[in-house]
Amino acid sequence: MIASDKMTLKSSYHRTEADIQAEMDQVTAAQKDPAAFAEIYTKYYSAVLSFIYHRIEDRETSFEICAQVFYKALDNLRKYQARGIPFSAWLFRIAANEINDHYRKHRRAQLITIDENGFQELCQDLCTSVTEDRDLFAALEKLDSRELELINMRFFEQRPFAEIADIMKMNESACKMKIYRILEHLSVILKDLRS
Amino acid sequence: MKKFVFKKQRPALDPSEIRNHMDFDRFLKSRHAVSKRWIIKSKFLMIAGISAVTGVLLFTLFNKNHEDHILKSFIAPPVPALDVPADKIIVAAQRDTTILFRTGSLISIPSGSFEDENGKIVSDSVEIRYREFHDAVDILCSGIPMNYDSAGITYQLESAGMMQIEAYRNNKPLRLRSGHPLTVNMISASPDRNSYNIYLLDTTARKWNYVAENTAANYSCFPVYEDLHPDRRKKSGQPEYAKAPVRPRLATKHATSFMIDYDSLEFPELASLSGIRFEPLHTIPAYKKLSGKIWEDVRITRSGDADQYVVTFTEGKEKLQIDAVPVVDEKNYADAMKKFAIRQSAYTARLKARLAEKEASEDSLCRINAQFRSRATNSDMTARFEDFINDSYTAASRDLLVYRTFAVSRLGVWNCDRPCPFFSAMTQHIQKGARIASFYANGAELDMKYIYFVKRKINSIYSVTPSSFRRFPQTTEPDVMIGITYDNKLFYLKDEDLHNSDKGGNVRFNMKEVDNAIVNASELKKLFLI
Repeated sequence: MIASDKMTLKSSYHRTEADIQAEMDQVTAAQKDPAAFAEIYTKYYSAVLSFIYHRIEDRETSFEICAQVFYKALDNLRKYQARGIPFSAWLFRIAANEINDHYRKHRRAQLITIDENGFQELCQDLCTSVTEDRDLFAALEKLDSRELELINMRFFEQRPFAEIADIMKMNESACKMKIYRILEHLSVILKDLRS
Repeated sequence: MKKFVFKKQRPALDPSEIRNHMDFDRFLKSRHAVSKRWIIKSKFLMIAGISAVTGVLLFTLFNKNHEDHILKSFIAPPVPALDVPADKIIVAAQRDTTILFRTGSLISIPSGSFEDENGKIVSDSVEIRYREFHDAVDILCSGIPMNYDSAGITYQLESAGMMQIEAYRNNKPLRLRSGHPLTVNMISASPDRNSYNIYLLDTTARKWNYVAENTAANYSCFPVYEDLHPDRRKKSGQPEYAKAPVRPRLATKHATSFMIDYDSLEFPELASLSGIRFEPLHTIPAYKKLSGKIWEDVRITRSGDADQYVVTFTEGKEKLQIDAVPVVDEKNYADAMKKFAIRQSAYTARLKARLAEKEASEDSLCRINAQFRSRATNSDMTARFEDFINDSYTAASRDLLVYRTFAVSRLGVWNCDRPCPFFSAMTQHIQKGARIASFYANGAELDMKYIYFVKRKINSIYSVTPSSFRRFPQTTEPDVMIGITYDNKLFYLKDEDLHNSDKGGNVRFNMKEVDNAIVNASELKKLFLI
C-alpha cells in the first residue's frame, strides 16, 4: 500500500503480491532468454549502482563492480528462486559480496558515505547532541562491519527494515531488534569516549 | 589500519553518466566477451573450471536437492530418529487425483499441476511426499518452529493440524504451476471452527506467513471448498467476492480524511469505490502534525464492525492507529453508486452459484466418504484410517473431527493455527524475570541443547534455548518439560514432579531419562500422556 495525499509513505520497497509476481514473470522469462533480462537490468541499474557508489570511492570502479553484479546475476539466474522476496534484495546481496571482495583484494579502509539527514536522525536516536562529527565517527568505527552495515543501510541509505532484513538474510523483527541493540551499544561507546 | 573511512556529502553521480553506462546491448556483448576471455585466459583457469564443475557435480550427487537442504537447515528435527516420516505416493501428473491419506485427509491434485525447475510442465509420474503433525509430540519431533512474528511481536502458535506436502520427480523437487493450487482437506481434532487461520512456512525468510482465515466443516459432512488463493481469482477472469461490496458513503463536509493505496485483491469489497478516502471515526490529537509526517509503513485491516477499517501507520517505534470508514466525495459519489450496483448484482449471482457449488461439493465428497466406508473391512487403508481415529483421537468423538481446508498454492509446510495466549504469557514472563536454570540426572549435570514445554490441552510446544536458561520461565503451569542434550538424549519431568521442582528463584531440575527402548513418537506420546 502506498499512502498519498497528506500522509505519505516514502518506501518504494513495499510491494503487493501482484508486483512481486509480475517481477517473477520477468525473471522466469529472463531465465529462458537472456535478452529478456533487459527489463530487470534497466529497472535496477541505478539502484544497484547507487548502492555500490555509496560504498566505493572511485566512480569508475563503481561502474565496473555494477557491471560485474549484473554479469553474476545473469549467470546465476537459473538458480534464483523467488520465495516472496523482491529480486532487488538478491541483487543487493550480490553487490555486497562484490564490494567485500573488492576491499579484501585491495586491503583498503571501507568507505561509508554519510547522508546529512541520516546523520542527524542517528544523533536524535542516540539522544545525543554530537558537537563534532569525529565523536560519532570514532564510535561508529568501534562497531563490527556487519553492525555498521546495518546502521549504514538504516540511517545513511534510509532503507526500510523489511528491505534491510531481506538483504541481510534476517527476519524483519530480528533486524529491528539488532538495530536497536546497536544503537544502545553506540550510546555506551559515545559515553565512554567522552568520559 | 583504519577499518572505515567516513565521508560526508559526496557528489552524486551524474544521471547522464549513469545513462551512458546503462546500455543493455553493450552489457550483453561485453558479457560474452568477458566469458570468452575467461575461457582462453589460461590453462590453469580451465583446470580450475573443470575442478569446480566436478565439485558441483559431486555436491549435486551427494546433496540430492537444494530445497531439501534449505528445509533441513531451517526445520531441524531435534532428534532425527524421531522425526515424523513422510508417506510417498506416486500419482499420474496428467490425471485429476484424490489421495485418501491414512489419517482420513483428502489431497486433491488437479491434472497438470506441477512443473520442473525449468518451468516445463510434468506429464508423467510425480512422487508426492506428505506428512501431518497433529499434537505437541509431532511438532517437537519435526523441529518445525511454532513462533509467529506479527509487527515485531512474537506470538506462540497453537495448531489445529499442520501438514507438509512436497512433490518430486527422479528425486528432483518440483513446484506448483502458478494458478494451479492443490486442495488438502486435512483431518483435525480441534473442532473450534472460527478462531484458526492458515499459515505457510517461509523457509527462506524463516517465518510463518499468514495466508487466510480458516474454514472448517464437520467431519461427517465434508467441507465446502473455499478458494483461499487469490491467484485463482485473477486467472479465472471473474472476480470472486469474498465479501459483499461496500455501499458508498458520502464524505462528511470539512471533515478530516486521508488517502491510501490498497490492494483491491485483498479488499475486493472496496473495488467499487473510486476516489476513495478514509475518514477517521474519532478525533485524532495533533492530527495536523502527524499528517505532515513521512511514515515508513501503512497497513489496513478490517475492523470487527461492518464497513470499518483500522489503518496503522508506523515509523520505527512510533505507531498511529486510526479507526476509519471509507468515503467518497460528492464528485465521485454517483459513479461509485453505479459501480456498486453492478458489483452488488455480480456478488449476489456469484453467491448463488457458490451455494449451488457447495451443495454439489458436499454431495460428491459425502459420496466418496460413503464409498470409502462401505469398502471391505479388511482393506488395509480402511484399517489404518480407523486405527488413526480410534487410537489417536480417543478423547474426541467422530463428530468432533473436522476438516481443515488448505488451498495449497506453494509446496511446503502449511499450518492451521492461532496465537496461543498461554505460551505467549510465558514469553512475557521470561522478559520480566531473570533466574538461572540447571539440569541434572543421577547427580550429573546435563548439557541441554533444547528445553520444550508442553501443556496437554494445547497443540503447541514452547521451546527455550540455552541462551535463555538465565531467564527461565515458571514451570508450574506446563504439564511436561522435555530436555534434549547435545548427544541427543531425551530427559523429562512431568506433572507433580515438574511443578514441585519449581520453588521460585534459581531452579535446579532433577530430570528423568527417557528409556532407550522408546524409539518413536507414538511411544513418547504414551509416556507424556499426550
